[in-house]
Amino acid sequence: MTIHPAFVLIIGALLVPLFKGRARSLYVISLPVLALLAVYALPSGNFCNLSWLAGFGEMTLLRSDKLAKAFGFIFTINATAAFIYAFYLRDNTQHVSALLYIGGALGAVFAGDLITLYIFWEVMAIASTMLILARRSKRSFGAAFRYVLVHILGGLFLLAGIVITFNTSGSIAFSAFDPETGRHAGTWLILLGFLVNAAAPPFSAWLSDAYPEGTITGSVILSAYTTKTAVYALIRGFPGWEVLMVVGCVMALYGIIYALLENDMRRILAYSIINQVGFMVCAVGVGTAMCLDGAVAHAFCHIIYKSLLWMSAGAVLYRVGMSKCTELGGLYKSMPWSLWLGTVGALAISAVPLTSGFTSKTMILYGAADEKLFIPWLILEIASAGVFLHAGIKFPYFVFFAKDRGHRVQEAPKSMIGGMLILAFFCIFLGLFPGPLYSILPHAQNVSAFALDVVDVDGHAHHFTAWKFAKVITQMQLLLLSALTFFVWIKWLKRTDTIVLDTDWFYRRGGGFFYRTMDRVLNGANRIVHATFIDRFIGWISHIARTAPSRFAVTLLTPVWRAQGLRDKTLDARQKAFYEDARLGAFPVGATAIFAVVLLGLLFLFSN
Amino acid sequence: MTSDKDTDWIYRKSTKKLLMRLLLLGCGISVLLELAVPGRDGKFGIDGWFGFYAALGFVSCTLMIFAAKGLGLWLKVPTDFYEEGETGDEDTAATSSSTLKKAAGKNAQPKDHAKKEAARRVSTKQAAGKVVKKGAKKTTRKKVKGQETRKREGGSQ
Repeated sequence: MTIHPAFVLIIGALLVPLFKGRARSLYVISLPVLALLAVYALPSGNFCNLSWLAGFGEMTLLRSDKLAKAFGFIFTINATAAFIYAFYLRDNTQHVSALLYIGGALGAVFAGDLITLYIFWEVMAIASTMLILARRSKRSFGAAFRYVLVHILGGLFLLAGIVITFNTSGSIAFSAFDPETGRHAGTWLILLGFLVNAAAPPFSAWLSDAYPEGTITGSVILSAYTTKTAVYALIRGFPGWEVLMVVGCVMALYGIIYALLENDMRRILAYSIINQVGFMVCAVGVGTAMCLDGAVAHAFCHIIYKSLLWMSAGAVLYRVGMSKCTELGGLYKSMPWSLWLGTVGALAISAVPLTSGFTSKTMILYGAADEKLFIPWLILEIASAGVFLHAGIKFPYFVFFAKDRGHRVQEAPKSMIGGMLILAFFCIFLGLFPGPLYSILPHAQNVSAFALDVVDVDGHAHHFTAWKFAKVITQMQLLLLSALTFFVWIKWLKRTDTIVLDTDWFYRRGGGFFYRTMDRVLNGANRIVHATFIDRFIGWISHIARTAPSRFAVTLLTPVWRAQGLRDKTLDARQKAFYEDARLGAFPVGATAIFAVVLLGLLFLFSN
Repeated sequence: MTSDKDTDWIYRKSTKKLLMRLLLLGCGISVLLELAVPGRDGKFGIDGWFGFYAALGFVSCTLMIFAAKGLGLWLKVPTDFYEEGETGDEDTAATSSSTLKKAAGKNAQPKDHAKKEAARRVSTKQAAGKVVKKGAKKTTRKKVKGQETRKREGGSQ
């Protein structure tokens, strides 16, 4: 019997409130372990086919293959470590939202068609918003609001794309869209929807806005799933789309520049996510089997070391209560475990030899170089150096060293250290023996402890060896020299208590501006029209309607009165008396009757 | 400069010099080790040159630091840049709904107006001596006032 790993977590989430205290923490740790076993036990194939939406064909709730399983593995492993880290937490909202969120991610990764994907996509968006709201601070409410708006927008792009694609191709199958022939409005919209979740500029501001405002454990979990699910979707749907190379390179550099400018340590890490996802997006753009496998391997290792970095930052936030580099420093004595385990993560993200980054990220660079793509390769190499600069050195330096601000706190709780240890272990283990990682890659064959063959669609095998002396030397050159630049130019890198304007300026400032403009224009027009038509015009019409008949009658009668000999004052008095009678309705009945007969006669005459 | 013995080992000038020297030594060794790998061919020619990666690392990181610095002159703003016009309420459940309205990017004017109204009423109440329930009254009145302003603006359509 095949069990959908997502439902393990989603149904498990609903049962969380039944437990209390430590039992609840143990329960939420057990759920992703069960999900991991479920992923492991999944055979390849399509399961749970439903014909739920009439006219759209069959939905495949569970599509299991190597690509989906690779992501399934890392999602569940990361979730286990994250819930161990969150052992101290006694908050129902966070646990339930996190489980629903991770369940949604698993559902999206194992979705066999576009509609199932969309449903789980939206589940993820909602659950992650709840996770940000769980911090219950004013800033997190604002950030969560903007976050959900951007994600609703991305979801609408995705939905519009799915509907158009279905109309064009007649099927909701989720497979690779051909880069040459498959380009139409539908696929572009789907791509846009995926890129919003992958945090591609200009739609990336939500990440650096919302993730730092989440809770300590919430952000650890948030950092892994939305963007990597989007990466999975890109790998599945858009391999070889060249525009992704451009987008990926822009993301990689954009993340570094902004991370160098930021002050809040978690905002630095948020921009670092954009930088690393840029590598993956660029790899998908290249589209060869080597690059796609590199993207999967990189996603796997990235989730591990990024969670580790966020855990380290979270531990500092937990103990010190602050997250700005201008307020932190000198923690190396108080929190040595957080420092060293965080440093392992920092080295891993920088692809230092002996860490998992070195054995995974370099596949992407190797694949790009194989295809003779000089500019993307060069930009990714520069980005590799830049990563060491902002995440590998800047983050630990300013948080744990730099200036001693007198914080003397305890080390992080044991559960936090436990979670960090698990992830740090993987960082080192996969750096030394990448074999197990290589064996779950989609196109891998002949996997040994340090090498693998990646097989193209046309059967051509490319060999990749993780450990080569020359590769180690060149990588060490790159990294050590970038470390040197950090300390050479340290005076130019002094932290200031500022934030950096990102593309969210347009809707944060623009939104208010738009509202005020619309208010003035539309409500002003409304007021003018009201004053002109309703107040003045209607009044004028009613005045006319009241007085016109008597005026008309007077005009008719005045010559008669003149003929009777009335002049000037007497004529005026006669007219006034007539108006008064008209106003009071004091005409003799006979006169009114004659008038009515005359009018009807005229009508009769003119109607024939 | 206080005596080096007073400060922690890691913050002493002598330690910083030592660490810098070690780093420079490491850089030098990594470049020299390239001599031990003769005939390293780059895929693009240029990356086969001696010390290419070292040069790439240094130059690109320097450029990125200065590009970031330049961009920062334009884009850096104080941390509370987006919080101008906030009412400065505490994080309470009562104010969370009005905060959500604020975060919705609503016109700041009716809220300021509402705040001024509330403040004026509060001050007259204070003058009358009813200080006790000021906080709660202000909140609810702000909410009510906010709703009234919304009704007023919405109703004329």
